Amino acid sequence: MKNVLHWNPPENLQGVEVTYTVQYFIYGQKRWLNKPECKNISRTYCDLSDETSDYEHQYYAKVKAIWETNCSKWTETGRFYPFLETQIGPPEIALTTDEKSISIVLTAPDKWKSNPEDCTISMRQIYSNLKYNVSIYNIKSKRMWSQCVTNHTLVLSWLEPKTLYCVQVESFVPGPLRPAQPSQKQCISTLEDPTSALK
Amino acid sequence: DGGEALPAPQNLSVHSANMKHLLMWSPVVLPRETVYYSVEYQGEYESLYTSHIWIPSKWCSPIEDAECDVSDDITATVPYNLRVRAILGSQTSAWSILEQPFNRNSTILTPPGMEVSRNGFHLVIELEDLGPQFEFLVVYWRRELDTKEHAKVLRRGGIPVHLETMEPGAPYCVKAQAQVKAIGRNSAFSQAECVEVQGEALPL
Amino acid sequence: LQTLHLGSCVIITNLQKIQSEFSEIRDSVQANDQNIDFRVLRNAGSLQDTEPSDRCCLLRHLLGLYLDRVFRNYQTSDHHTLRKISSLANSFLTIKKDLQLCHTYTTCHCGEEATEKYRQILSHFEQLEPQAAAVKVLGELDILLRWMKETE
Repeated sequence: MKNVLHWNPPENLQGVEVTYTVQYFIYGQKRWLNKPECKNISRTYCDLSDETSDYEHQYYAKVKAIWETNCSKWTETGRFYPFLETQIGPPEIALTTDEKSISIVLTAPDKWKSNPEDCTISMRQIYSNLKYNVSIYNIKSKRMWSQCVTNHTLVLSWLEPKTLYCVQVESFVPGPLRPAQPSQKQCISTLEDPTSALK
Repeated sequence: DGGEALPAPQNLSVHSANMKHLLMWSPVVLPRETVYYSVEYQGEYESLYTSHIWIPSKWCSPIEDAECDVSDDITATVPYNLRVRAILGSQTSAWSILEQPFNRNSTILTPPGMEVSRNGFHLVIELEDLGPQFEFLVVYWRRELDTKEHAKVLRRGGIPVHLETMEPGAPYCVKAQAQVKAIGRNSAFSQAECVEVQGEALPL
Repeated sequence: LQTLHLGSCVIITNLQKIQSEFSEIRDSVQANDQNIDFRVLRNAGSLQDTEPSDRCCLLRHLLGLYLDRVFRNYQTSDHHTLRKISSLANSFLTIKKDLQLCHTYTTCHCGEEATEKYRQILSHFEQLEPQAAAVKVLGELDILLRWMKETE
């Protein structure tokens, strides 16, 4: 739910000092609203997360360029629906292991918040049908398999002792496709099998 | 609606299996000419609310073959009217309409193809990918005296899925059935396939 | 597939498929909506804020509005959009038939709340000219789908 408006600078104004002004609109309400922090700015993005934090509403944004004594027309976005369109970040992954198994504990990402003091809302509270796609790589055998899980724990059993396994996880919500954001790969090695040392 | 000289296609029929729906007709044969066809459809909504409206088929407006895959057109479980006409240059024939409206709930569902394998101690299955409308009920059991069946629903085919961690000493058997919830029907179960873990197999 | 709990009327439908069909035409439909300062489906009229016993009736009325006056009045020459609207309309028709069954078995009671909420939605709808209203309310389909999803 961190919603940032991005745009490209006008094509034919290289070398000219250009600034931009952004406004946003809540669908169904009456007026375009200013974003003071994005008035006469030179960067080409504007963070509208605060203004679009009610994910049940739908929004528009527009931006215009100003240079010398001129200003461009407004360029407007389509209707933006955070609930349907926001990208969902990867979960946090905690791995523990013994000789033949790896336990994976997943923690859903948190909703963006402007003030660290604000209470934390988990994306799972917003999307009750949040699922995870867990990919597991056996680095030695170069084998990979994946599992779709709903709850936040998964135990991989009957693994090879003393072998490096890597885990990568992606959150997803069944429904319209959203850009995926897989986690970093996290690797852990299964322990040595004490019985094999005795042979 | 186009010259009558060009004969309309005849013998329209739909062959539907595993949610793939093929509209077929007898070709219009004219010496040294290439005849094209155009297919249109109407769902129950159109026939009830906007009966004058026919919608051009996604893949067959026009087409050269005397058949048309209308699977992407038939997207709801309601009766659909289908029609086809011949096209030769600027000439078009009269429309031929499928005698009985087609409903996808009449599709033939066949048992899914499957590959059962052993991956160390792990029983793995890969099912035929029949498309997004299909789920699969997989039943597996350890073949010995008190056979207790286990079941799992797999949301899609085409990828290896872990079923069970096997213990040596007796074969494990698997069978699968295709399910299409959109039409509320299932296929028959496939033939069972069995694999066994020998004494000292390597884990995964 | 999703199970919608509308009081004692329970129906199963594929909201995800309907949502993805609509997603294919959403931007072009919403781009045709010139009245962005006006919203027909407002949170006050939502399904989830409606008494469970009245939800079936409200949804039946809403689907009727889409079938009678939205899909029928949305004009387009684009074949892709035409196909998607046909798919949406025939899926809505299937849901409406299920609701009709509930109505037949008197589990689709029209109480005062449902009647009043639908009256408000209709009065918003009729403030616009038919073609513009069809464009707007088709553009608000993901709001209706969200309402339906909340009754899961």
